[in-house]
Amino acid sequence: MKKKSTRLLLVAGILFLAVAVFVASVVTIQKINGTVSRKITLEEAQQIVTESFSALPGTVATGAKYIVENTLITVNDINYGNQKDIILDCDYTTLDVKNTVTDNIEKYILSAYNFNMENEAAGKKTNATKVKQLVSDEMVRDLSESERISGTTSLYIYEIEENAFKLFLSDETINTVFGGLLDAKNIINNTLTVNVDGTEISIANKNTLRTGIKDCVSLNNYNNRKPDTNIGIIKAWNSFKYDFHRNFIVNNQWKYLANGLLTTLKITALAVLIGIAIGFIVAVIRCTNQKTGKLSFLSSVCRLYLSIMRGTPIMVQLLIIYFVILLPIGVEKFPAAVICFGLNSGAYVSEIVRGGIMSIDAGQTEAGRSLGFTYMQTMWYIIIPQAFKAVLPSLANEFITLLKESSVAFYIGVADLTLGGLKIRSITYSNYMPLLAVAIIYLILVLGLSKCVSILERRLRKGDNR
Amino acid sequence: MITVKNLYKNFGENDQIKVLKNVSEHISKGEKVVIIGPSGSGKSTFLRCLNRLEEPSSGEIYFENQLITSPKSDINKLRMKMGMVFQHFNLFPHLSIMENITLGPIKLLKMSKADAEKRATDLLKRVGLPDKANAYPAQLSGGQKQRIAIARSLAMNPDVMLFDEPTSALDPEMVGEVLDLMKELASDGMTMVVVTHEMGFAREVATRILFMDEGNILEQGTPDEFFSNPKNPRLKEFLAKVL
Repeated sequence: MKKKSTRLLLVAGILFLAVAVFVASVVTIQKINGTVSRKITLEEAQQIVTESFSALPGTVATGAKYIVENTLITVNDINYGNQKDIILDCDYTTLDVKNTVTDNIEKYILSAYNFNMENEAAGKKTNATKVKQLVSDEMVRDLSESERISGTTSLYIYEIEENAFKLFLSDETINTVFGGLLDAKNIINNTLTVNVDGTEISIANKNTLRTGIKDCVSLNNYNNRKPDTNIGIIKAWNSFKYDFHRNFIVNNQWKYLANGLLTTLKITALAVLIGIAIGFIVAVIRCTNQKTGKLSFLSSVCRLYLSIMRGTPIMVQLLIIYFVILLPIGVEKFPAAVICFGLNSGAYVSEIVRGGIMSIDAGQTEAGRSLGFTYMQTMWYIIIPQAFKAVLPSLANEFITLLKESSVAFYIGVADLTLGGLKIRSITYSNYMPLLAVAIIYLILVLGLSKCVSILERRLRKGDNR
Repeated sequence: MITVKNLYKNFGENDQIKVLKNVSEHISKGEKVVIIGPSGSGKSTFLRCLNRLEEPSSGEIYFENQLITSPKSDINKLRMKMGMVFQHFNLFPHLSIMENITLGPIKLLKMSKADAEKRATDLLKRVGLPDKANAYPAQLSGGQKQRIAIARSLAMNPDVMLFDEPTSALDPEMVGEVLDLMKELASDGMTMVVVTHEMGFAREVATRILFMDEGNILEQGTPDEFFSNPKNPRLKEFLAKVL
């Protein structure tokens, strides 16, 4: 049995990879590899580099614009790789951004802070753009007095389409040729407090100020991912690895899925327990009414419950139970979801159990009653154990159904598996990876549980013939 | 021990099907009464009315001087004193043989588990199946199942045993073992009411035979006069067919 479940996981894993690779290759179709279609001249290379760099700071005057304008890149030599890549050996001279910002960060924070205080006193709101302009002016003055540093580096150009060349800029390259620009950005990010004459000024909670200062050294988006020039399948695999990494590995984002899965399993398990309890009670009431004519009031209540629960969508039930009934009396989301799914599953379980009770031979009841058991004792000692065994596979299937249906719980904000996937999606703006992962986790669970149900069924059949 | 007065039983909508029509009968302690008759004559219904597995439509039934047809009587208490054996055995398939026999004594007679199992072991010896305590019903043959069913009834220590065609569902070669056990039970002095088609058993064991047809007891008597000198023409016809 252990061997089988391992194989199942393996199959599911391969399935996952296959689907993901396929989707990824569809998502990023590009030309196949090889060397570039034509060689470029030094002038061309220099032009590509200069144009790319001048586009980096955008149009608005900031510290970043000043830094880029005062950075000089000279292309000295051109080499060609065989992945449509061109390697440029360059000299650069630039400003010492890192040290300038390190030396003056406290001053920037203080002036932003004072600016904010003035605004508050005047009843005005401070916005990040204003802060950026203010700090940029100071920063440009400091940078103009800073030392110039120089060195050599390699830049990469890729031919992304025939005769279309693009400069590839990684974080590392940017940091090098701009004198530690990204280091400076980190310093701004991590400096939250300033000590002025013994009093501590904190901008930890003032996002506007920090954003404003940070924007002084912010560049427009540059492609920090190598253009993919490999052949299709490798490209797809690389793309998959990259997407996988940025969706699940970065910041431990896989934990959204893991915790969500745990919540989904908890909701389902608890709801099924409630469902079984309710289901058996309702089934016994209805069977008793059917056979003896007693409990007719309770039976009508049960019928009403059944028609409501089976006649309305579970999503609507969830919204009503949470927002209309339970939220006003202060019940949390999680118990609300458990209660809703429990009530819903109870309706279905009761019909399963009723079928189970009805399927037990009338002779069993007669034998029990003839010994002197009351109707309820006969039910409890004789009918229900047999009915339970008979409907166990159906109950397990109900559990599987509920596992899938519980995915609507995200609608009231329960952090289940589905919401975990959506959360990742909202962070990475990637659609296929998180949604596919959610689907595949559900699939693995359902396939595994179905397997368990069929094993259970076989065991029970064996038990009948012992 | 059991007295039946003016018993009627109707079935169906508006009570259209009249199964028992004014049956009166008295069964004394120690009697072995065998009820015979063609299919649909009401003999099983009559038997099942005696412990109210069928609810009589009208009439009175007294058991040990208590009116069991009254709604005030505790029918469950009375049923403990009336064992019943069914055509299809109706053993509890989810319980072992031991649990089948001890369920009633433990839950209803409030016996300790040890006492109940001791009694069950004795009963299993008595029905000739001492080694089947831990088996399950599905592992037994029909004859063995019926013997266990008898043991299960006897475990409640009843005053009277009702048998509803106990050998009808058995293979012919297994009928003997069940009838032998019933004969043994009869010779121990148990009061028995038996619905059966086994004429040999009736002749050998019965103290009295009732012939029922169309909801009435048409004739009754000792086995000798019943078989050698039947008076009712319907009984003559019936015996001519079955003997």
